[in-house]
Amino acid sequence: MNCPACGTENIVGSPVCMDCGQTLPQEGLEEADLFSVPLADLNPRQPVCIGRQTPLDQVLDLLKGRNIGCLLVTGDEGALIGIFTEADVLYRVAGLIQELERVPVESLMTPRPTSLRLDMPISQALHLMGLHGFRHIPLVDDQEHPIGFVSFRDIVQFIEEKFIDA
Amino acid sequence: MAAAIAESKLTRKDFVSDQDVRWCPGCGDYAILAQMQKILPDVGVPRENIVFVSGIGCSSRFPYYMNTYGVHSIHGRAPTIATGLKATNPDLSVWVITGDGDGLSIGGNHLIHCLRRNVDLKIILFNNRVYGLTKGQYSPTSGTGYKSKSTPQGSIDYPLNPIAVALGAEATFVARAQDNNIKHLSQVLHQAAQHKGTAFVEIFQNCPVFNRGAWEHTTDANTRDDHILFLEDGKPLIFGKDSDRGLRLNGLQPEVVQLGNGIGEDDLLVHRADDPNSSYAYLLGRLEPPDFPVPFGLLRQVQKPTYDEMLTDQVEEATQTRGDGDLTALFRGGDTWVVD
Repeated sequence: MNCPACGTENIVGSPVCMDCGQTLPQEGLEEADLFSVPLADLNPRQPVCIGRQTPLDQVLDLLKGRNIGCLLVTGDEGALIGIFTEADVLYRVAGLIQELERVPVESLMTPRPTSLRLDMPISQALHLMGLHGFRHIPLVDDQEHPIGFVSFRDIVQFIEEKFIDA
Repeated sequence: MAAAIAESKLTRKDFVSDQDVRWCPGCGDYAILAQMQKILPDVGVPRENIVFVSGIGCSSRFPYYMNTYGVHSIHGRAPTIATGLKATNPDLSVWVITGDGDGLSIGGNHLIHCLRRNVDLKIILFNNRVYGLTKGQYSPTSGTGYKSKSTPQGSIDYPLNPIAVALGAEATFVARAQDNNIKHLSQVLHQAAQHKGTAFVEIFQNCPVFNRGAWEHTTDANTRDDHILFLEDGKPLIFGKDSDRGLRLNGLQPEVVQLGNGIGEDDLLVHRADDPNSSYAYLLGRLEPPDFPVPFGLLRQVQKPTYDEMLTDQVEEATQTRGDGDLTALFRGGDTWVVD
């Protein structure tokens, strides 16, 4: 990368010119943005929250009716205590449980799910998804109350928009 | 052969390796790397006598990018490996590259003992106040209240001050620079290279991904002049955009004063990096915004015999008085036991 001020060839990615100190434009800035943009910029969707005793038949109706991939389970104080996702339907319910109305979501949810906050960078969500295979990550406020969730699809769309813009 | 190589004038490009540099775009590490590659041709050490030893972390990828010898070693243990290297091969110019986590947390013990021994090493600590390689956990230099992946409610740790740590260990060379001030950084690295003994340099390094703005006080073009105090030996401590403020002592406490109205340069502290008492440098090292400017430059430089020199002297003395050692005889000498 050549410095626009003095013409010196710098290492790609360098923040300043090695000879004159001029701030350099960043090639690959899209990548840096992707790392540093806060999750709030994804405009996360509102979560659908349910109580721990919600029976599975209602849970499945909500997932299908709202066309969402996860439900967040809250405790008595409204704080996040679990998550139930479409993957749980596939691996923990389908073909295994017949009387859905008699099984509370609490018994099959993932308790104490990893959550993030709106001001955290998208990279953290990507990291968790890559590391643990998460497809949905709840977003909470300082009181651990759910305020949204970010899905794998949300991030893919964000990347797609970035590339189109570029 | 070494002399012949040393005589040919090297350039920065001679110190650039063939490896692609893999740091995030905009990372301050690039600027430090470039300045290191620029100063080494002028240091006067043959390239084959230079070794970079690093620990673990983003900055510890540094040796890959230097066309010198290098060791990407164990987390926090670079000072120890470098000590062994220097002690057994005193002709080498040995540089340690470490970060705030690697050097002050995982390797804190190794760092301070290397500093107190005054091994002839150059230790460059990249301080970005965060664990970048592991994607954003708080580090020993993160500020209290800093929110990170590992401190979602804010850090309740009090941060370490790297300069104070180095001075506490009686380091003989202690300096501070910043990644984006390339001229000053270059000057400090050059001074470190020339020092005989452990040279400790803290570099404020921006992590644009996980801790952007950590050094905003000293990087923001609109305000930095009011927050930086450049140290010059023999000069009064003056700072500010208009060079109209200074530091003086009020009892044992430093005090910022406005020049004029009866207060002149003679009232201010005058910088002396060679003060044998490290208390003055410690006072400087503790200064921080918002109440005080941040000192940059050489806070302390004193001369003391180095560990490697003294070790070599001891070996030579023992050899002269007792002859060359015989390891086999030593091993078989004295009391031995047979374990059945």
